[in-house]
Amino acid sequence: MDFNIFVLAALGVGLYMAWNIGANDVANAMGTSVGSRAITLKQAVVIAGIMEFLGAVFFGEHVTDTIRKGIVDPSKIVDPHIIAIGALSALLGAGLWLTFATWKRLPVSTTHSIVGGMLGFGLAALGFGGISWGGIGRIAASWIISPIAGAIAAFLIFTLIQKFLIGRLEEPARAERVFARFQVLTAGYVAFAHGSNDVANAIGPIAAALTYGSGASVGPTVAVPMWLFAFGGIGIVLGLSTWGYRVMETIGKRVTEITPTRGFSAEFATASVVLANSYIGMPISTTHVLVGSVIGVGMARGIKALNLRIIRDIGVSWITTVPIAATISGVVFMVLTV
Amino acid sequence: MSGGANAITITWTLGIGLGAIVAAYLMMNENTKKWSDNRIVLVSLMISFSVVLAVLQFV
Repeated sequence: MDFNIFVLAALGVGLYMAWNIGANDVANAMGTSVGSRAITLKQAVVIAGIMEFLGAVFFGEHVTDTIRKGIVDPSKIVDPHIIAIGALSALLGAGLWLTFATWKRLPVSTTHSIVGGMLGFGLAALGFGGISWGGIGRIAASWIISPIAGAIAAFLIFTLIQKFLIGRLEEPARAERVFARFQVLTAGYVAFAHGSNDVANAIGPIAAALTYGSGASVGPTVAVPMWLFAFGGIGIVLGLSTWGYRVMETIGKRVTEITPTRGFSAEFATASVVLANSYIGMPISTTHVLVGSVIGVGMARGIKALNLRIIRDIGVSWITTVPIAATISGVVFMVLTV
Repeated sequence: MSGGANAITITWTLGIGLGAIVAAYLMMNENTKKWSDNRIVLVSLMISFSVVLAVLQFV
Protein backbone atom coordinates (compact mmCIF):
# COMPACT_ATOMS: atom_id res chain seq x y z
CA MET A 1 0.00 0.00 0.00
CA ASP A 2 1.25 3.52 -0.80
CA PHE A 3 2.87 5.26 2.22
CA ASN A 4 0.59 8.32 2.31
CA ILE A 5 -2.57 6.29 1.81
CA PHE A 6 -1.42 3.91 4.54
CA VAL A 7 -0.81 6.72 7.06
CA LEU A 8 -4.14 8.37 6.19
CA ALA A 9 -5.91 5.01 6.52
CA ALA A 10 -4.29 4.42 9.93
CA LEU A 11 -5.38 7.84 11.20
CA GLY A 12 -8.88 7.46 9.75
CA VAL A 13 -9.43 3.99 11.20
CA GLY A 14 -7.97 5.07 14.56
CA LEU A 15 -10.27 8.10 14.77
CA TYR A 16 -13.21 5.87 13.81
CA MET A 17 -12.28 3.39 16.57
CA ALA A 18 -11.90 6.20 19.14
CA TRP A 19 -15.34 7.51 18.08
CA ASN A 20 -16.77 4.01 18.65
CA ILE A 21 -15.12 3.75 22.08
CA GLY A 22 -16.66 7.09 23.06
CA ALA A 23 -20.09 6.15 21.72
CA ASN A 24 -20.23 2.73 23.39
CA ASP A 25 -17.61 2.19 26.09
CA VAL A 26 -17.46 5.68 27.67
CA ALA A 27 -21.22 6.07 27.20
CA ASN A 28 -21.97 2.90 29.14
CA ALA A 29 -19.51 3.91 31.88
CA MET A 30 -21.30 7.25 32.33
CA GLY A 31 -24.81 5.91 31.63
CA THR A 32 -25.77 5.48 35.29
CA SER A 33 -24.78 9.08 36.14
CA VAL A 34 -26.70 10.52 33.16
CA GLY A 35 -29.63 8.09 33.58
CA SER A 36 -30.13 9.14 37.20
CA ARG A 37 -29.97 12.82 36.10
CA ALA A 38 -27.00 13.46 38.43
CA ILE A 39 -25.33 15.01 35.36
CA THR A 40 -26.60 16.00 31.93
CA LEU A 41 -25.27 14.59 28.64
CA LYS A 42 -23.48 17.91 28.01
CA GLN A 43 -21.82 17.77 31.43
CA ALA A 44 -20.83 14.14 30.76
CA VAL A 45 -19.15 15.20 27.51
CA VAL A 46 -17.21 18.00 29.24
CA ILE A 47 -16.17 15.75 32.16
CA ALA A 48 -15.17 12.96 29.76
CA GLY A 49 -13.24 15.36 27.54
CA ILE A 50 -11.11 16.65 30.41
CA MET A 51 -10.71 13.48 32.49
CA GLU A 52 -10.12 11.04 29.59
CA PHE A 53 -7.34 13.28 28.34
CA LEU A 54 -5.75 13.68 31.81
CA GLY A 55 -5.94 9.92 32.43
CA ALA A 56 -4.46 9.03 29.06
CA VAL A 57 -1.68 11.63 29.02
CA PHE A 58 -0.51 11.41 32.64
CA PHE A 59 -1.25 7.81 33.56
CA GLY A 60 -1.69 5.91 30.28
CA GLU A 61 0.87 3.46 28.98
CA HIS A 62 3.13 5.38 26.60
CA VAL A 63 4.65 2.23 25.17
CA THR A 64 1.97 -0.14 23.91
CA ASP A 65 1.89 -3.64 22.45
CA THR A 66 1.80 -3.67 18.67
CA ILE A 67 -0.50 -6.68 18.65
CA ARG A 68 -2.72 -6.05 21.63
CA LYS A 69 -4.35 -8.50 24.03
CA GLY A 70 -1.94 -11.42 23.57
CA ILE A 71 -4.16 -13.32 21.14
CA VAL A 72 -1.61 -13.42 18.31
CA ASP A 73 2.11 -13.92 18.95
CA PRO A 74 3.85 -11.21 16.84
CA SER A 75 7.12 -13.18 16.86
CA LYS A 76 5.42 -15.70 14.54
CA ILE A 77 4.97 -12.98 11.90
CA VAL A 78 8.19 -12.23 10.06
CA ASP A 79 6.90 -9.54 7.69
CA PRO A 80 6.28 -6.17 9.50
CA HIS A 81 3.94 -5.27 6.63
CA ILE A 82 1.62 -8.06 7.81
CA ILE A 83 1.69 -6.78 11.42
CA ALA A 84 0.74 -3.25 10.36
CA ILE A 85 -2.03 -4.39 7.98
CA GLY A 86 -3.24 -6.84 10.64
CA ALA A 87 -3.42 -4.12 13.31
CA LEU A 88 -5.54 -1.97 10.97
CA SER A 89 -7.80 -4.91 10.01
CA ALA A 90 -8.37 -5.76 13.68
CA LEU A 91 -9.23 -2.16 14.47
CA LEU A 92 -11.67 -1.93 11.57
CA GLY A 93 -13.32 -5.27 12.47
CA ALA A 94 -13.74 -4.16 16.09
CA GLY A 95 -14.91 -0.70 15.03
CA LEU A 96 -17.60 -1.92 12.63
CA TRP A 97 -18.98 -4.32 15.26
CA LEU A 98 -19.02 -1.52 17.86
CA THR A 99 -20.89 0.74 15.41
CA PHE A 100 -23.53 -1.95 14.90
CA ALA A 101 -23.83 -2.59 18.66
CA THR A 102 -24.15 1.15 19.37
CA TRP A 103 -26.77 1.50 16.63
CA LYS A 104 -28.72 -1.29 18.36
CA ARG A 105 -28.11 0.54 21.70
CA LEU A 106 -26.23 -2.43 23.18
CA PRO A 107 -23.31 -1.99 25.63
CA VAL A 108 -20.55 -4.39 24.54
CA SER A 109 -16.93 -4.84 25.61
CA THR A 110 -14.47 -2.80 23.53
CA THR A 111 -11.66 -5.08 24.72
CA HIS A 112 -13.50 -8.19 23.54
CA SER A 113 -14.21 -6.48 20.20
CA ILE A 114 -10.49 -5.88 19.73
CA VAL A 115 -9.70 -9.44 20.80
CA GLY A 116 -12.15 -10.57 18.10
CA GLY A 117 -10.44 -8.31 15.58
CA MET A 118 -7.02 -9.68 16.50
CA LEU A 119 -8.36 -13.24 16.37
CA GLY A 120 -9.72 -12.73 12.83
CA PHE A 121 -6.47 -11.29 11.55
CA GLY A 122 -4.46 -14.01 13.36
CA LEU A 123 -6.55 -16.80 11.85
CA ALA A 124 -6.27 -15.28 8.37
CA ALA A 125 -2.51 -14.71 8.67
CA LEU A 126 -1.33 -17.72 10.70
CA GLY A 127 -4.17 -20.24 10.90
CA PHE A 128 -5.35 -22.02 14.08
CA GLY A 129 -1.80 -22.71 15.30
CA GLY A 130 -0.97 -19.00 15.56
CA ILE A 131 -3.65 -18.20 18.14
CA SER A 132 -3.38 -18.19 21.94
CA TRP A 133 -6.69 -20.00 22.63
CA GLY A 134 -6.35 -19.61 26.41
CA GLY A 135 -7.15 -15.90 25.98
CA ILE A 136 -10.42 -16.79 24.23
CA GLY A 137 -11.37 -19.13 27.12
CA ARG A 138 -10.92 -16.25 29.57
CA ILE A 139 -13.36 -14.16 27.52
CA ALA A 140 -16.03 -16.87 27.70
CA ALA A 141 -15.51 -17.01 31.48
CA SER A 142 -16.06 -13.24 31.64
CA TRP A 143 -19.62 -13.59 30.28
CA ILE A 144 -20.52 -15.45 33.49
CA ILE A 145 -18.13 -14.11 36.15
CA SER A 146 -18.36 -10.36 35.39
CA PRO A 147 -22.14 -9.80 35.56
CA ILE A 148 -22.59 -12.13 38.55
CA ALA A 149 -19.81 -10.40 40.53
CA GLY A 150 -21.23 -6.96 39.64
CA ALA A 151 -24.83 -7.98 40.39
CA ILE A 152 -24.03 -9.46 43.83
CA ALA A 153 -21.90 -6.46 44.87
CA ALA A 154 -24.47 -3.87 43.67
CA PHE A 155 -27.40 -5.79 45.17
CA LEU A 156 -25.68 -5.81 48.59
CA ILE A 157 -24.63 -2.14 48.45
CA PHE A 158 -28.06 -0.88 47.38
CA THR A 159 -29.85 -3.10 49.92
CA LEU A 160 -27.65 -1.64 52.69
CA ILE A 161 -28.35 1.94 51.50
CA GLN A 162 -32.08 1.19 51.35
CA LYS A 163 -32.24 -0.45 54.78
CA PHE A 164 -29.88 1.71 56.81
CA LEU A 165 -30.30 5.12 55.13
CA ILE A 166 -33.36 5.64 52.91
CA GLY A 167 -35.64 3.70 55.30
CA ARG A 168 -34.55 5.79 58.29
CA LEU A 169 -34.55 9.31 56.83
CA GLU A 170 -37.42 11.70 57.52
CA GLU A 171 -37.03 12.89 53.91
CA PRO A 172 -35.91 9.90 51.74
CA ALA A 173 -35.49 12.16 48.68
CA ARG A 174 -32.58 13.80 50.48
CA ALA A 175 -30.48 10.64 50.05
CA GLU A 176 -31.01 10.94 46.28
CA ARG A 177 -29.85 14.57 46.24
CA VAL A 178 -26.71 13.81 48.27
CA PHE A 179 -25.81 10.70 46.24
CA ALA A 180 -26.32 12.64 43.00
CA ARG A 181 -23.38 14.81 44.10
CA PHE A 182 -21.29 11.71 44.76
CA GLN A 183 -22.14 10.54 41.25
CA VAL A 184 -20.53 13.67 39.74
CA LEU A 185 -17.25 12.55 41.31
CA THR A 186 -17.86 9.00 40.15
CA ALA A 187 -18.38 10.10 36.56
CA GLY A 188 -15.12 12.06 36.62
CA TYR A 189 -13.22 9.14 38.03
CA VAL A 190 -14.71 6.67 35.53
CA ALA A 191 -13.57 8.86 32.64
CA PHE A 192 -10.11 9.25 34.18
CA ALA A 193 -9.70 5.49 34.70
CA HIS A 194 -10.92 4.84 31.18
CA GLY A 195 -8.40 7.29 29.77
CA SER A 196 -5.50 5.67 31.62
CA ASN A 197 -6.54 2.14 30.62
CA ASP A 198 -8.38 2.07 27.34
CA VAL A 199 -7.39 4.96 25.06
CA ALA A 200 -4.45 2.77 23.99
CA ASN A 201 -7.01 0.34 22.52
CA ALA A 202 -7.67 2.88 19.77
CA ILE A 203 -4.32 4.54 19.35
CA GLY A 204 -1.91 1.63 19.94
CA PRO A 205 -2.52 0.03 16.55
CA ILE A 206 -2.38 3.48 14.86
CA ALA A 207 1.05 3.99 16.43
CA ALA A 208 2.11 0.61 14.98
CA ALA A 209 0.75 1.50 11.54
CA LEU A 210 2.39 4.95 11.59
CA THR A 211 5.72 3.45 12.66
CA TYR A 212 5.50 1.04 9.76
CA GLY A 213 4.39 3.84 7.41
CA SER A 214 7.43 5.94 8.36
CA GLY A 215 9.71 3.11 7.25
CA ALA A 216 10.93 2.18 10.78
CA SER A 217 10.86 -1.45 11.91
CA VAL A 218 7.76 -2.56 13.83
CA GLY A 219 8.63 -4.60 16.93
CA PRO A 220 6.44 -6.22 19.62
CA THR A 221 5.98 -2.82 21.31
CA VAL A 222 5.75 0.69 19.92
CA ALA A 223 6.06 4.16 21.50
CA VAL A 224 2.90 6.28 21.47
CA PRO A 225 3.53 9.99 20.80
CA MET A 226 1.66 12.53 22.95
CA TRP A 227 -0.29 13.99 20.04
CA LEU A 228 -1.87 10.59 19.42
CA PHE A 229 -3.40 10.64 22.92
CA ALA A 230 -4.99 14.00 22.10
CA PHE A 231 -6.15 12.56 18.76
CA GLY A 232 -7.73 9.57 20.54
CA GLY A 233 -9.30 11.86 23.14
CA ILE A 234 -10.93 14.00 20.45
CA GLY A 235 -12.39 10.89 18.80
CA ILE A 236 -13.77 9.63 22.12
CA VAL A 237 -15.43 12.97 22.95
CA LEU A 238 -16.93 13.10 19.43
CA GLY A 239 -18.35 9.58 19.88
CA LEU A 240 -19.79 10.35 23.30
CA SER A 241 -21.38 13.62 22.17
CA THR A 242 -22.88 12.31 18.91
CA TRP A 243 -24.05 8.72 19.56
CA GLY A 244 -23.33 8.26 23.27
CA TYR A 245 -26.98 8.84 24.19
CA ARG A 246 -27.98 5.51 22.58
CA VAL A 247 -26.06 3.23 24.99
CA MET A 248 -26.58 5.66 27.90
CA GLU A 249 -30.34 5.21 27.52
CA THR A 250 -29.97 1.42 27.75
CA ILE A 251 -27.78 1.55 30.88
CA GLY A 252 -29.55 4.47 32.54
CA LYS A 253 -33.20 3.81 31.65
CA ARG A 254 -33.99 0.66 29.67
CA VAL A 255 -32.51 -2.16 31.85
CA THR A 256 -34.12 -0.73 34.99
CA GLU A 257 -35.01 2.73 36.31
CA ILE A 258 -31.88 4.37 37.77
CA THR A 259 -31.95 6.89 40.62
CA PRO A 260 -28.82 8.48 42.18
CA THR A 261 -28.66 5.92 45.04
CA ARG A 262 -29.06 3.03 42.57
CA GLY A 263 -26.60 4.59 40.12
CA PHE A 264 -24.07 5.16 42.89
CA SER A 265 -24.50 1.55 44.08
CA ALA A 266 -23.91 0.22 40.55
CA GLU A 267 -20.87 2.45 39.96
CA PHE A 268 -19.31 1.77 43.34
CA ALA A 269 -19.91 -1.97 42.96
CA THR A 270 -18.25 -1.90 39.54
CA ALA A 271 -15.24 0.04 40.84
CA SER A 272 -14.89 -2.34 43.81
CA VAL A 273 -15.09 -5.49 41.67
CA VAL A 274 -12.58 -4.10 39.15
CA LEU A 275 -10.24 -3.03 41.96
CA ALA A 276 -10.51 -6.42 43.71
CA ASN A 277 -9.86 -8.08 40.38
CA SER A 278 -6.60 -6.20 39.93
CA TYR A 279 -5.35 -8.31 42.86
CA ILE A 280 -7.21 -11.58 42.14
CA GLY A 281 -6.74 -11.62 38.36
CA MET A 282 -10.14 -12.98 37.25
CA PRO A 283 -11.05 -12.61 33.58
CA ILE A 284 -13.57 -9.75 33.82
CA SER A 285 -14.79 -6.95 31.55
CA THR A 286 -15.64 -3.57 33.12
CA THR A 287 -18.62 -3.22 30.75
CA HIS A 288 -19.96 -6.63 31.77
CA VAL A 289 -19.48 -5.87 35.48
CA LEU A 290 -21.33 -2.55 35.11
CA VAL A 291 -24.27 -4.14 33.29
CA GLY A 292 -24.37 -6.84 36.00
CA SER A 293 -24.34 -4.10 38.66
CA VAL A 294 -27.28 -2.30 37.03
CA ILE A 295 -29.15 -5.63 36.97
CA GLY A 296 -28.20 -6.10 40.64
CA VAL A 297 -29.75 -2.80 41.78
CA GLY A 298 -32.84 -3.66 39.72
CA MET A 299 -33.04 -7.09 41.38
CA ALA A 300 -33.07 -5.38 44.79
CA ARG A 301 -36.59 -4.19 43.83
CA GLY A 302 -37.63 -7.58 42.44
CA ILE A 303 -37.41 -9.27 39.03
CA LYS A 304 -40.35 -7.18 37.71
CA ALA A 305 -38.14 -4.07 37.95
CA LEU A 306 -35.94 -5.50 35.18
CA ASN A 307 -36.49 -5.40 31.42
CA LEU A 308 -35.64 -9.04 30.65
CA ARG A 309 -35.90 -8.59 26.88
CA ILE A 310 -33.15 -5.95 26.90
CA ILE A 311 -31.01 -8.12 29.20
CA ARG A 312 -31.39 -11.06 26.79
CA ASP A 313 -30.36 -8.88 23.83
CA ILE A 314 -27.30 -7.64 25.74
CA GLY A 315 -26.30 -11.24 26.57
CA VAL A 316 -26.56 -12.27 22.93
CA SER A 317 -24.44 -9.28 21.86
CA TRP A 318 -21.69 -10.26 24.32
CA ILE A 319 -21.52 -13.83 22.99
CA THR A 320 -21.46 -12.70 19.35
CA THR A 321 -18.90 -9.91 19.86
CA VAL A 322 -15.76 -12.02 19.29
CA PRO A 323 -16.94 -14.14 16.31
CA ILE A 324 -18.44 -11.19 14.41
CA ALA A 325 -15.48 -8.83 14.99
CA ALA A 326 -13.16 -11.74 14.01
CA THR A 327 -15.06 -12.42 10.80
CA ILE A 328 -15.03 -8.77 9.71
CA SER A 329 -11.34 -8.39 10.58
CA GLY A 330 -10.36 -11.60 8.75
CA VAL A 331 -12.22 -10.52 5.61
CA VAL A 332 -10.66 -7.01 5.70
CA PHE A 333 -7.19 -8.53 6.20
CA MET A 334 -7.61 -10.89 3.24
CA VAL A 335 -8.85 -8.05 1.02
CA LEU A 336 -5.92 -5.78 1.99
CA THR A 337 -3.30 -8.47 1.45
CA VAL A 338 -4.56 -9.76 -1.91
CA MET B 1 -2.78 0.59 34.32
CA SER B 2 0.30 2.42 35.58
CA GLY B 3 1.32 2.42 39.24
CA GLY B 4 0.11 6.02 39.68
CA ALA B 5 -3.28 5.23 38.20
CA ASN B 6 -3.56 2.16 40.43
CA ALA B 7 -2.87 4.28 43.54
CA ILE B 8 -5.57 6.75 42.44
CA THR B 9 -8.01 3.86 41.90
CA ILE B 10 -7.44 2.51 45.42
CA THR B 11 -7.68 5.98 46.99
CA TRP B 12 -10.80 6.90 45.05
CA THR B 13 -12.68 3.65 45.67
CA LEU B 14 -11.98 3.60 49.41
CA GLY B 15 -12.51 7.37 49.73
CA ILE B 16 -15.89 7.42 47.97
CA GLY B 17 -17.06 4.31 49.82
CA LEU B 18 -16.13 5.72 53.23
CA GLY B 19 -17.49 9.13 52.16
CA ALA B 20 -20.90 7.60 51.44
CA ILE B 21 -20.96 5.99 54.90
CA VAL B 22 -19.97 9.27 56.60
CA ALA B 23 -22.57 11.18 54.55
CA ALA B 24 -25.25 8.67 55.59
CA TYR B 25 -24.27 9.17 59.24
CA LEU B 26 -24.34 12.98 58.91
CA MET B 27 -27.80 12.86 57.28
CA MET B 28 -29.18 10.90 60.26
CA ASN B 29 -27.30 12.47 63.17
CA GLU B 30 -29.40 14.89 65.25
CA ASN B 31 -26.65 17.54 65.31
CA THR B 32 -25.87 17.49 61.58
CA LYS B 33 -29.04 16.45 59.77
CA LYS B 34 -30.07 20.11 59.29
CA TRP B 35 -26.88 20.82 57.32
CA SER B 36 -27.23 21.65 53.64
CA ASP B 37 -26.69 18.83 51.09
CA ASN B 38 -23.48 20.45 49.83
CA ARG B 39 -22.07 20.80 53.34
CA ILE B 40 -22.76 17.13 54.10
CA VAL B 41 -21.05 16.01 50.89
CA LEU B 42 -18.06 18.30 51.39
CA VAL B 43 -17.47 17.38 55.04
CA SER B 44 -17.94 13.64 54.44
CA LEU B 45 -15.47 13.67 51.53
CA MET B 46 -12.92 15.70 53.49
CA ILE B 47 -13.14 13.24 56.39
CA SER B 48 -13.07 10.11 54.23
CA PHE B 49 -10.20 11.12 51.95
CA SER B 50 -8.15 12.38 54.93
CA VAL B 51 -8.61 9.03 56.67
CA VAL B 52 -7.91 6.97 53.53
CA LEU B 53 -4.79 8.96 52.60
CA ALA B 54 -3.52 8.75 56.20
CA VAL B 55 -4.09 4.98 56.35
CA LEU B 56 -2.49 4.41 52.94
CA GLN B 57 0.66 6.18 54.14
CA PHE B 58 1.24 3.25 56.51
CA VAL B 59 0.28 0.39 54.16
